[in-house]
Amino acid sequence: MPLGLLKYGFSSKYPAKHHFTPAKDLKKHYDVVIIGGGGHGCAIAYNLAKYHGLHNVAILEKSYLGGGNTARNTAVIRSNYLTEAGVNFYSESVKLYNNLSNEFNYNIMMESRGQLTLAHSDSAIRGFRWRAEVNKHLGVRSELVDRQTISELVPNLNMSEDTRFPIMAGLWHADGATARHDAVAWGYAKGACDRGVELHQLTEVEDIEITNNRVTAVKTNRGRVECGAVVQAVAGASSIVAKKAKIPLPIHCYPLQAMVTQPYKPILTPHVSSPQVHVYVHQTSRGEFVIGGGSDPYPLYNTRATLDQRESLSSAALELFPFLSQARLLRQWAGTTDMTPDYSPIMGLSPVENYYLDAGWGTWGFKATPICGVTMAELVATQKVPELIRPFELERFYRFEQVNEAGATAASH
Amino acid sequence: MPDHIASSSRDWAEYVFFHDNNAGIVTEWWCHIASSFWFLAERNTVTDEIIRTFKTDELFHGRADVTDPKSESK
Ligand SMILES: Cc1cc2nc3c(=O)[nH]c(=O)nc-3n(C[C@H](O)[C@H](O)[C@H](O)COP(=O)(O)OP(=O)(O)OC[C@H]3O[C@@H](n4cnc5c(N)ncnc54)[C@H](O)[C@@H]3O)c2cc1C
Repeated sequence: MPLGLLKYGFSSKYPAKHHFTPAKDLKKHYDVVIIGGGGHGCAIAYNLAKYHGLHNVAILEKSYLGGGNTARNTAVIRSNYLTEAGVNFYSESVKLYNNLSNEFNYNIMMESRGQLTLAHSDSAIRGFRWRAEVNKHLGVRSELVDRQTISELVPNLNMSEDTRFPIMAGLWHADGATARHDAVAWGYAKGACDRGVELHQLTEVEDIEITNNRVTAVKTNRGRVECGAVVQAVAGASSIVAKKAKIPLPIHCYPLQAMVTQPYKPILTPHVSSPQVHVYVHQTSRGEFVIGGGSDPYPLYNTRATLDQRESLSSAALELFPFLSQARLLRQWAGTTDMTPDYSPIMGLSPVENYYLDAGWGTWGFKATPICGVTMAELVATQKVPELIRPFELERFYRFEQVNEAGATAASH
Repeated sequence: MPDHIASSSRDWAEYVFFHDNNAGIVTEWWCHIASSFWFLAERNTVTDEIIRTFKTDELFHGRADVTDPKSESK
């Protein structure tokens, strides 16, 4: 065995071959240009190439593959939302996630360990009952559970009644899961590149050329590229990129921070979240405790970490799990999130004919990656808006038809 | 603010939802909660630097006109 390992280490076949070939020079023309090489951009490219026969596609990424919010999220996947539009959309995504490793023949480390959201007040219980009923009606596993069941699901949760906000009940979502976020982006990128899509990293879209209300080309730091259609999937840079196409968006950018401890033995099975104390915690398969919470208090395009947030996340996590008091923090980080007024995304057509929007993913977009790939690719290929994403079109704001997705807010993702 | 009588609902939507979301220097209203004192601040939304804070009378003079044109005729 050690000899075999040594041989492998020195052999010319090591390191194993690249997941995909790095793209060469930019072509003069692509049928579809995708701005943003995060999970969403790669998923859209993958679906265009695999299911719609569109291979002359480029993903233009200003930095590196999956280095934006795809690299920064806490990987929570769930579908226990509150609106019908939201539940239908996210539950399709969870279904796709469940089969994604097979779809790619590449392990995304999907783990369905469930999600428990805690209620510390009567009004929260009322809200949870409402959510559970909506969820069940639409085929999502979601139920209101009492303190006894909570102690069985999470034996080491602090159930004391002597805390500031004692736990009164919970919303148990058996479909809740996590997956390795990087692997999702890599799997889509590999599958897309295997089918002729070009991934161009370090390629920033600096300007967008529009004639007669149609995009004709994008200008990048590496030259000008003509294109038949453009999809923007740039999350935190949504307003900035859309502005280049003269499209105003109802988005404000706020940092969202998270942090992680050193690895410990497996002790916590589900994902536990508390909108009341503004924190959520889960233990990864590596053993680290991932701790996240609400957004920063004011708008900012910056990914610095703050002591304020570290203190508030720590104290909230300790309230739920006092045994973490000896845990050591390994990292703290942030991503710039593109928040919409109704906590729902902005997907679909834009005022520019062949320019498509995949934006407004805020603090909840990782779980939507597979379904965005499917629906946005269908839209670009067929020019028809899939029913699943119709409620999320930009025009809704002009008609005051927001999709008020209270199930996406604060620490409950 | 759009004219509350003459504006279309589209104008209102723009006013209510569509803001600049600038990456760069912005001027904003802030409130010192302890004293309920409202002031203005210039802030860089990329570097997180507060460039300066100042009292509202540097930019605003007099009171806002909040009379309802409908009630004037009465
Ligand atoms: C701390 C944190 C925790 C989160 N937790 C969760 C969670 O648990 N569950 C969940 O569902 N969601 C979560 N989210 C939200 C989720 O991460 C995002 O909504 C999602 O990753 C968005 O994916 P994306 O591919 O659209 O964007 P990104 O991954 O950000 O990709 C956009 C890419 O566009 C590139 N780009 C920008 N401008 C340009 C340009 N001009 N030209 C070319 N390329 C450009 C960027 O470099 C970037 O790589 C979290 C976010 C954060 C920050």
